[in-house]
Amino acid sequence: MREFKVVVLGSGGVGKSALTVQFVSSTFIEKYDPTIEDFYRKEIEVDGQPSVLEILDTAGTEQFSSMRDLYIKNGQGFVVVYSITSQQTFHDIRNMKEQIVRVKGTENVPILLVGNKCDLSHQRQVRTEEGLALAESWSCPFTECSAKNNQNVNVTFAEIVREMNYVQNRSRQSKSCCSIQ
Amino acid sequence: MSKEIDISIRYLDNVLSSNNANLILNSTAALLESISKHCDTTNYELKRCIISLLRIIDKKCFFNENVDLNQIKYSLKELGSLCPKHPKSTQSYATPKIIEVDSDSEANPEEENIDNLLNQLNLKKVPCFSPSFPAIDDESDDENGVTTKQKEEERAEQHGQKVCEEEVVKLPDGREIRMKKTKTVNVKQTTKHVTISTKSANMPEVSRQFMNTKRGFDEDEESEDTNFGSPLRTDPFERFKLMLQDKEESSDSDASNPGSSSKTKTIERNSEVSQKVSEKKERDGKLLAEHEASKLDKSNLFAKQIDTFQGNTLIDRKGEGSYEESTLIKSDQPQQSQVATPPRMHVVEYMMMFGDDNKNNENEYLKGTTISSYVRLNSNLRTHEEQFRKKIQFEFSTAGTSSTTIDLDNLSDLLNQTDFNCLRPPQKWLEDVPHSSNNQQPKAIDWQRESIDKHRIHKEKDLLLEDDAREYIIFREKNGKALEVRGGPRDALIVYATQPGHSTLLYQEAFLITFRTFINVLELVNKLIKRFIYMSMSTDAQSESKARHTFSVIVRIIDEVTHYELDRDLITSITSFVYRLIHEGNFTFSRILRTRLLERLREPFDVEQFLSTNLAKPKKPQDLFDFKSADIACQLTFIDSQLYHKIESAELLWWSQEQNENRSRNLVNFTEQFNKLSFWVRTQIIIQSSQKDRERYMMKFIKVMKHLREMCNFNSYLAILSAIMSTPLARLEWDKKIKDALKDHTGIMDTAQSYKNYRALLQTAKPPCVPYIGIILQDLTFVHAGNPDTIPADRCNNKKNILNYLKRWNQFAILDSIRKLKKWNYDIKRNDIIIQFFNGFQNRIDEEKTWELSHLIKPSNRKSKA
Repeated sequence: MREFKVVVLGSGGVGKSALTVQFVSSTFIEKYDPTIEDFYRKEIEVDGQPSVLEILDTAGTEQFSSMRDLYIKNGQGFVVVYSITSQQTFHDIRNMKEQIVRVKGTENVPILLVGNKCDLSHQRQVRTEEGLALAESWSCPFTECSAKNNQNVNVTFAEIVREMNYVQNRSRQSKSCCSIQ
Repeated sequence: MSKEIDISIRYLDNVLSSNNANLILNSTAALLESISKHCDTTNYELKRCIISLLRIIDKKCFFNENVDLNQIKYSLKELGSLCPKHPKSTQSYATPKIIEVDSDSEANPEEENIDNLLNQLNLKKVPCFSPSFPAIDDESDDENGVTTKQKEEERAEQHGQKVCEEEVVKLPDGREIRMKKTKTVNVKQTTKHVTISTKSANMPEVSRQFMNTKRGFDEDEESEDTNFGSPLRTDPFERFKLMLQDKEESSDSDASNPGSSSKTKTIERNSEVSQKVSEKKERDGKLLAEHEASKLDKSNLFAKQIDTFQGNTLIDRKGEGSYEESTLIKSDQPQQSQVATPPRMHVVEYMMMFGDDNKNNENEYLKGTTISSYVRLNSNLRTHEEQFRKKIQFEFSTAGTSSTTIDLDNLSDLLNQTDFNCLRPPQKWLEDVPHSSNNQQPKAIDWQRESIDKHRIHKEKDLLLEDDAREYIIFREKNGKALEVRGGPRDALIVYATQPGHSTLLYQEAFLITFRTFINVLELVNKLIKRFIYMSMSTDAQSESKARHTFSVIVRIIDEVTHYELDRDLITSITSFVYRLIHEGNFTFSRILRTRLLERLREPFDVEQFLSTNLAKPKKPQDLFDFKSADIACQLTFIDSQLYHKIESAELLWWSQEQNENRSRNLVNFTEQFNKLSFWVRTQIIIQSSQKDRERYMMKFIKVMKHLREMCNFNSYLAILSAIMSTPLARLEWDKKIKDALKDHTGIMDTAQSYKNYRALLQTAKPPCVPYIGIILQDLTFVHAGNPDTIPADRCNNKKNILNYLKRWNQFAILDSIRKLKKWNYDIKRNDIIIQFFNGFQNRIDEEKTWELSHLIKPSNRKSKA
């Protein structure tokens, strides 16, 4: 089975941890123990193909700016999250693509832009079009979701799997192209 | 009348003009102390005067308000004239409160005594030390050779004990009878075991054993001396002693009423056990190998207990002392881990858990998977706590504020079995009123003026004033026995924390560490004060004991209150409660509370000042290579541990819920230091212009890192590692030597399997230790995000707002390890020269610039987007 490492990035308070928790445990579970080894692992089937996601969620450690580099290095796909109720969090991630690309050393990075907390539409500060526009400039997919209401959460993670598959295939193709020439 | 009061009044009068709040508050405390010693604090006039003095002083010092100093001076003057009129009454003991054994308290005061302590200490055995040496290979197959193996064990024990009892009986005519008994016991024992086995090719193995034992026991006669009517000066710690020495030698104002007596018992006990094991192997008289290891255990106890009797009834018991234990292990096998196997239960626990016979089963720890790494970390810390050195101060008294140690077995057990099947529902369901605190800030209450009408209150249903909260709480159940709290209405959980007879130490500690997740300090303190006042309105022993226990919870909360929380409202509530206590004649409690409050009013920690030095600029600019790697590591550790010790668990808990830099100031300081160090290291390496220099710097930092790891300073260790592994540096070409040197370290930062590698490293760390706080924050964040605050209504009889205490147990498991680690400290002296060289880690370039330099050194092969 394919295994992917996904890093969840974004400022503090955008609900990253809620998103991850919602994904790794979709049913009501009595306890969550983040210290056990497979807490952050989950199997997901996308387009008939099962794969395992190992999620590295930086929630709680956003202040450790010196560690961000290492997180990015460890990841294969990136879920970049902001909160639609805070312009600041949207502003914070504006250069995230450039940072990821720089660390990974390639433009071909699977990224997904996510606007969280869409259940709080009455407090919305970032319009959907703004999110779409940023995603377009990053040439990556975009979703809005609500971790709280479990709305679009699985879709979000399925999307990043698709993106990773796509990028992997593309680079394989371009490699084979090169070798032919 | 005592001159002491006079002096403290004059002193306070003098410091008033200094405008130094700390000084004024401390001299006020000293004044209160002398008044409590010499005056009748139940006198109405005196109480009124003290309260009005405190009110103005508090206004000035706590709230920085302008007050009329003359008002203070006037109060002082009045106090000066009132005090002599109301000397401590000899009648004050006329109606002594007889402290009865609380029928609802499990701690039997009979057991809380010094003899019990000593007995338990005497029962403690130092385990036999048997290090295992590596097998000595005997490779040669010489048929004629004779191999001799000699094993020697030497053990010596020495225990000395001196018990001194002094009894003072006060007779109606004012005379005193003193009796003094001293008993000294010395025990010595040495044993020596020698085993020699000889083996040669065609001979079976022969063993010979020698054993030599010497025992000594000597008990000296009880010296007894009785003397009549001699005055005695006590209070050796009195600060005004010198000033008073020549005065009033004979005025003993502590005279008690007829028939009272006091018994003072002091114990000094020291013990030393040294063990030495050696092994030798020879062949044909030629030494093949030799190993030796030794262990020295020392312990020292000094304890004192004062019992006060009224006739034959014990009316008060107080005790205090210190206990020191150290273990020294020497071995030529540095990696030996089994030497750390500690005695299963140590004396500290005996002292703190009087009468609690629950033996801990160490094996239990390792079971279970839940928050497992923390439970294992905790147990590892405990293991090490028993090694090396420890010193504790303890006190016990019938007033019931004693320290506690946690029983970790319960915790791991607790976190493991969480299924709903074994829950015991409460006898009474009570719905908590929805917490209005969310939108409405709790307010200060002026407790001196607040009236509580006992009869009116009783009609309203207030959980807070219930005698017993158990019937409202959901417990976990095992084989029909209630185990630990699983949830309950908020007020029931608060009341339960004040019921030490029923709730466990573990519960109380977890409550004190996690209550901030469901109530803020001010609201909680107000609730507890209300309970205290209500309980102290009744005079029966049961209510009094409840009031006392409630008070000790208040004291514990104040003890750990953070700088951020100590706002005007909280201080108002506490100080007004102090006035009320004085008004009610409870001078002792008022002073305890006031003293604890003063201790928490410290200035916030200034990192910049801490990292600066007063040294003159060095003549020649210094660089990294002027200092030894070990010394640099030491100073980094010194800085880290200072910053780490400032972090309160409340700050971490808050951070996992809402990242507010003002609330978690010390935590932010600590993370900032991590970032600064990391970028400083990157800068030092990348600004070097030649490859050779960059490699030289790189190598130096790897060396520093190695020392940091040995010192268990994972904070700076990871900060440097994150610098070295950062992409701008890692993408450059490095010498093979450097790559090899890094091999041991890079795996630690692997994020796979929830930082499995790092967690494993931390679990085996020997304290003192500074952890990397990022993972702790991450775990707390996920425990918070993943566990609901309240138990879903459909699982508890459709009642809402039943708090989910399992979440708090999880948080407690994580935070308790932080607290445990904070008990340790490094023995490192500040080195200003190195600290000056660090220069606050200001010489660093930002991430963008680092990338620029990195691309200058090695151009990017990625096409620029433009």
